[in-house]
Amino acid sequence: MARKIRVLAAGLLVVLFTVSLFVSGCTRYANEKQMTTLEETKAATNAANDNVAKLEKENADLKAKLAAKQAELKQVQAEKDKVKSKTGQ
Amino acid sequence: MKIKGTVFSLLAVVAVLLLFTGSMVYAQAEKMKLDEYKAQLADWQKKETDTNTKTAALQKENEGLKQQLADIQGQIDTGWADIYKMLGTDKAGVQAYGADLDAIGTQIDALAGLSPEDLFRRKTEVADLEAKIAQAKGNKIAILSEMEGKLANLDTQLAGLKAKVPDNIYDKYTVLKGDYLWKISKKPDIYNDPFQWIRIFCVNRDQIKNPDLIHPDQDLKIARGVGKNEYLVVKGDYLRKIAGLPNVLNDPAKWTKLYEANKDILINKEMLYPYQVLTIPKE
Repeated sequence: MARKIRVLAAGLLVVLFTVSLFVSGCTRYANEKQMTTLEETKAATNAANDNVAKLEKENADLKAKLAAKQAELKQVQAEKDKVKSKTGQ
Repeated sequence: MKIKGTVFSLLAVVAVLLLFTGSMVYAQAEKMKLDEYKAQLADWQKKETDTNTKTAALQKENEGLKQQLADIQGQIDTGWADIYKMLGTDKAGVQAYGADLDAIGTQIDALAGLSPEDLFRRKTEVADLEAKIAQAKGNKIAILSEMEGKLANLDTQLAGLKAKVPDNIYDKYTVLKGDYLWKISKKPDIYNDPFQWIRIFCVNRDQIKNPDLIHPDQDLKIARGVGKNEYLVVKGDYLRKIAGLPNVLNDPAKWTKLYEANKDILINKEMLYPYQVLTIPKE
């Protein structure tokens, strides 16, 4: 009787061990180096995004300044025409 | 008894195995699967590439905008230089002109804050400011739109100021028993000069018909200046001379008009007295 139980127990142990191997060991995971690469890529992308935001703001500012300067140039040209006609030059 | 020990041992081994398997599963759950990693890495790398492309495009566009700004600024500067040349001045000259106009505006504001009496006493300053504005209008720089605006504002300010200047200012004197014009005029706080009695008579013509007849409690006006349309006779004056003055009628031949406007206080055409206040007729 005791022998039968021992055999059964050994068999059960073998089954359990095999199942545990299947559960934990058959799937492949990214290693630490690969994870570091991924994190560095993410960080670089985020930094580039920040830079894009700065450049977009600078772009908007420059466009506004340009519009103002174009208006100023028009005024100067109108002023020049007026002075020219009034001074007869 | 032996069987019982074996069962216990078996259960203990099973428990250890279960713990081992559980901890392994838990530890692996924290890690990223390789396929998932590859997908994420590809996704982030694509994002990075796109962002870098966008960065390069923006940098190029911004450089172009800066160049355009510099070009336009150059055109503006050249335009102003041409304008200054036509006006025969430079930027500093225009700035100085503008500062002069601003100073006139400040002076007008200061005068506008005075009481009518003080303003009357300083009416020559008002006239000076008006002359300065007229002179500034004669400068070529006045053509500039900015200066035109400043001059228009000054005209408005000056018109407001001139409207505040009273034609004349008067103190009040209440006649006492025993007073007569000569005596009143002699008082130090009136004119301190009895010969100016005729001045009191002239400005109170509405209530004094006979200079020898004034009544106690009568309120007389004591002129403290010469009004806009008035002329204070001085020794040696005669109608023809006064009519010829630029601030009177600017034409000696018009003396008759002067006489007509003042005949109620003039005894005859030939006789004028110092301190008589003549009304200058409007032409």
